Amino acid sequence: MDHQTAARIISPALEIKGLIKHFGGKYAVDNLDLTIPQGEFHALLGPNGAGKTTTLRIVAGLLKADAGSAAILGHNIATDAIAAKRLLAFLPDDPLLYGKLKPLEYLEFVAGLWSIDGDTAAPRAEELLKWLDLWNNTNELIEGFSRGMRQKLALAGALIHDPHVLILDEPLTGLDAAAARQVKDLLIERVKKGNTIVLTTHILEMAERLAERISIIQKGRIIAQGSLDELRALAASQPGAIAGATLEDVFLGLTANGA
Amino acid sequence: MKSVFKVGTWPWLLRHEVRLQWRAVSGTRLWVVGIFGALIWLGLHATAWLLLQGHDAVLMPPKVIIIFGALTWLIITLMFSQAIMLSVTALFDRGDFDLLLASPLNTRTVFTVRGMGIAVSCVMLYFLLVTPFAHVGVFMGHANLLAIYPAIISIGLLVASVGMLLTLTLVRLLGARRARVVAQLFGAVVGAVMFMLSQVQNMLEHQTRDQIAALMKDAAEPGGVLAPDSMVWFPFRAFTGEPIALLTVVTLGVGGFFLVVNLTYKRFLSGTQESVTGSANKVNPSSAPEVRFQNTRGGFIGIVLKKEWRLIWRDPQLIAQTFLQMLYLLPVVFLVFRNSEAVSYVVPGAILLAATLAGSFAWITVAAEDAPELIGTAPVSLTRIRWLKVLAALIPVWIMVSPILFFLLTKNLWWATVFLFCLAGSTVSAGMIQIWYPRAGDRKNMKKRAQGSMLINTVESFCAFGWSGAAYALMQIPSPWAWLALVGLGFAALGPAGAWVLGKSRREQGVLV
Repeated sequence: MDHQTAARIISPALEIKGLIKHFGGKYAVDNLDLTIPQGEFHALLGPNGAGKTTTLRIVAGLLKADAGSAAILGHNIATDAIAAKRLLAFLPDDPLLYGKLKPLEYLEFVAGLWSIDGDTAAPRAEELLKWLDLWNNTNELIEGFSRGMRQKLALAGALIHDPHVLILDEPLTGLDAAAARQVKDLLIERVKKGNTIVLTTHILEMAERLAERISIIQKGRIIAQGSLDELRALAASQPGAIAGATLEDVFLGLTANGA
Repeated sequence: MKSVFKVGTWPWLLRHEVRLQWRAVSGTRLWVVGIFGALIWLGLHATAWLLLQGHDAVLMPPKVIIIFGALTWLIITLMFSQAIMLSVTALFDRGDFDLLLASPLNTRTVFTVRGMGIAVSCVMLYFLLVTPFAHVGVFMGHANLLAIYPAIISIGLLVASVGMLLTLTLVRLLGARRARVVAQLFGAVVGAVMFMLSQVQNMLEHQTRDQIAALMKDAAEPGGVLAPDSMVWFPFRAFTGEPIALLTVVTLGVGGFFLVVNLTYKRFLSGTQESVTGSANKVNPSSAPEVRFQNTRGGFIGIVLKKEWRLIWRDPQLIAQTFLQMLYLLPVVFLVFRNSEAVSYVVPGAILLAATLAGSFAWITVAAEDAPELIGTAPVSLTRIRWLKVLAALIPVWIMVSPILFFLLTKNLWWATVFLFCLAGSTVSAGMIQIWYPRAGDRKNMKKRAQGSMLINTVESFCAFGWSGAAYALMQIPSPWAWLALVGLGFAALGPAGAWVLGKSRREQGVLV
């Protein structure tokens, strides 16, 4: 076993330390720490403008942090970007795709970016497109796709290289109930296989049902973290707490007073 | 004024239409466009005064009628190609019909005003060009020129109605997406034909030119198709206030517009809009392809090149816009083959064109990346991908200008060497500028790429002209003035150097594309 593989086995899937990012004078991420072990389904919740997307974009290597670090399975995204990105897939909330490509051409290109052998990628692409009900649309240009179809294709693109860590920003946006169920099932299956999933969502029911641990972020900082029961216990200690609270009650209670 | 534009009336809706069209043209620099427009308009009044001085604007010589009559048809053709594009945008792209049709406004009024908006947009430029003649004409005692107003408005309405009719028919037959492509290609072809006609002098042999001139002369004789009293020149003669011509043009324009609106609006509302959403997602399950991907271990370069070329190839509008520039090379090529002494002018011209084309293509592949987040998260060096994108941009340019290289190889080895050196230098520099000055663009707005940073656009131009000048000077060796090539190369170096300095902060911020 080489050193890198050994480091990967013992490293957390995602480790963020003292992350800071500001735009102008405003802090979008303010000294944020977060550690997510391998194989965990983790939900990052927070009100609009809390810093969730900025954090995820830094982790995905799309933005440079002003201070602090983020590492994927031990690979620092700033200093060891290629190795970190090889293990990662990022699905933005409004994925931009190539309108003039067809779905298989898009997946072929994505597989090429991740250096996946064509013989390996082709059956995987077929499987994903069939799974996501896009197989009948393979002869169409992506520009004719609905929002939900684009979202599903972007997800297929994120999964084509079989990433260890999946970072999803609002993955259910634009999906109908059936497609949302398909995606949720797909994510559960990935976690069972040992992948790590970090997602942001405004659908609290999704986080409540799927996530093993939840982090609540506000004003660029993590204000609460833990399993749903741990968060309930924390919320119960706040003034005006509700007994047997749902995640929504807990979330609103914690974000209302900034914990 | 307020009562004319009372909320919910057609003038109010028309004002809304014109405002949307105007914003699409002027962007946010309203005052700049306004001031320049006003100055040009004043200048046109002076021009009209000079042209009308000492001429009879009622009894015009036959030659004048034919020349200006042909010019009027040229304007009508340009207006028509614009009308088709505007019809596609106004009827299918803007997407505000749902809002308007859900409102309590009369649906016929909504559709009529949309047509009027198209007519106003088509006619506006030419309206500003010709109305100074009416104003100056009245001042100089030619009241008949006031007919310019009803004539140009009627021509605008006629052109808009034919454009709308054709667009709706195309959408019905082909679906919105294909109709859009046809409209875009039509616009490009009209532009190309106009340019080619303007270059007939350079491109045809003397004998052919004389034959065409003789044919035209015959047709312009009394009783011929192009005779001054022919109905062909009615549009121009309507401008001069000739009663029958004016009546015909106004009747055709106003009558045709309302006829087309009444004939088509119900069909548009009931059926055509459906084709916008219906055509895109036709499914043919049986034709799902066999999945076979390129083996990417050895073919990453191929993957990137293929993707970039596919995206360009499948975008007819982009091809039309970019390749139209290639058309400007044609007269130059004709010049070379007819006069080998012209080579010393042709080579710099071809270098300039290649640099411009390379800049456009490199902007499309590098700056106008459709999925920057995908590229940004991929485990591949961003620099490597950018250079591959530049390569994808440069290869078509090299192929396109290669006939000139082969021609030069048969004529003069030194010229061929100069051409090859300057071609490589100018095109690679154009790519470097895109890489070292990262900026995000939208390939749909390629026409607006020049509206970005004025400074980087200036150094880009310096670079292209520098290489072009260097090519000219190098071809003059052993002339004592050939050292001026160094000045040209100095200007050429300004491009990449300028991009490196100006783009430093952008690169440090990690701009994705």
